[in-house]
Amino acid sequence: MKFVSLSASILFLGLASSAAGASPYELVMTASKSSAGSGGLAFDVISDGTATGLEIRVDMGLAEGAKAKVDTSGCAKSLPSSHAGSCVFNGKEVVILVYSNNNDLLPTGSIDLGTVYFSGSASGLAKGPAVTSFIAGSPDGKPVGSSIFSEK
Amino acid sequence: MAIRHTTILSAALGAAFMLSSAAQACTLDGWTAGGIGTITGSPVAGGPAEAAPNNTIRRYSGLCGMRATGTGNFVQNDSPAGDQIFRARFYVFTSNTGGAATVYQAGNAGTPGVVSVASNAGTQITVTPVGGTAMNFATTASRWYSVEIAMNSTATATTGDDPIAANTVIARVAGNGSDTVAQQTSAVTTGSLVDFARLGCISNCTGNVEFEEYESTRSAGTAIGRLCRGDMNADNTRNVLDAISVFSNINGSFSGGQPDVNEDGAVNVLDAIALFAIINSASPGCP
Repeated sequence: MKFVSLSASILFLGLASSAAGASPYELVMTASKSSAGSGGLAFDVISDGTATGLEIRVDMGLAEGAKAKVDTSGCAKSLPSSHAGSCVFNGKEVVILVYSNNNDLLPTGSIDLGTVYFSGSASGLAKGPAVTSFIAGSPDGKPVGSSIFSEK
Repeated sequence: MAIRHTTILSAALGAAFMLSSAAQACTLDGWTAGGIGTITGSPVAGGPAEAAPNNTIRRYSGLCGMRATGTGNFVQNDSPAGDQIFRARFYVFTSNTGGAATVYQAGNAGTPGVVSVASNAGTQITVTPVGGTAMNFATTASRWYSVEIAMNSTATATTGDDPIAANTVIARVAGNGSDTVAQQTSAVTTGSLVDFARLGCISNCTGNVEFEEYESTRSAGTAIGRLCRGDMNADNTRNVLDAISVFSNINGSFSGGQPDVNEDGAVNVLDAIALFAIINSASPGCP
């Protein structure tokens, strides 16, 4: 499937850049968009096992007063058993949270955060969605290094 | 409970006092250090990191709070000196029973209650200035509320971001998990002076009442404001880093910040849920 093969190649990119001293946490957003203004955003995080929680904010790029349909039902659902998550569209942004009640560490490797689907008129989506914030937090509540890679 | 008095008169600054926390036991020394105040009766400082029974004393921010049980248990600070422009803010947990208890006074020897605040068995907070009318704010029992007063007993309005009209007291109350601030104003007798401030179970008090985060200034034009619920690292916003710290507090690893997001006096999963709602909103920044 398209997202799986893309994720695999991006995972390779992530691990290679880790060897070169990149941030310990990398967010990969892979966007697909149809000509009708609909599409999907797939999220993966490359983890080095030092964070316990994640927060990702995605500005969906809506024009002022425009409405778009955003489906988060497939997002933050297949998380490690140690963690819970939520994926909420607040009218402007999609907010993805991953956390542990016991502040357990996330496992190392690639973590699939699922896909957010959206649809709307061409005028409703003024610009492409963009990640505006990515925070990975250590168990003492401090941010760990993080970076964002987007493929559109 | 942190106590900060900043005197802003011709750019002179007063001293700042912090209640000891973290590595030290909770104390009320900040109210009496240097002879600037007194303790009447036996109000007690405590918090979740203290030994029993003081570990049951609620705190709103940081590690320490103050509990006063029954009438005649309060702290007094004497650093005000004939102030006609006076601001104060504190948090009170509305757990007293049996009627309207006076929990705060700012005044002088002749009129201890130039401005007085009463907590009525959790149903109402009333702010009453001398020469003015009682300002009533509906409350819920056993919740944290912030109470802020701003007094100007001169005949000239102040200027600034938060001006106070002449001969006026502004009262602001908010809490119970909401940042919506209720505000009322009342007259105050011209020339009224504040020489001291008292906080605790001053009169008509039954049961326990807890207090936190007292702050006082003489600023003509700047409000003190509320602390930010759920902001655990003082970065003026709420995000996953704060959620991690709230979970730490729930799990017994205590720290500063404001983990009681729903202001119900307990730090538990309900606060994590309330914090997630803030984080997921379009406005996670502090109000």
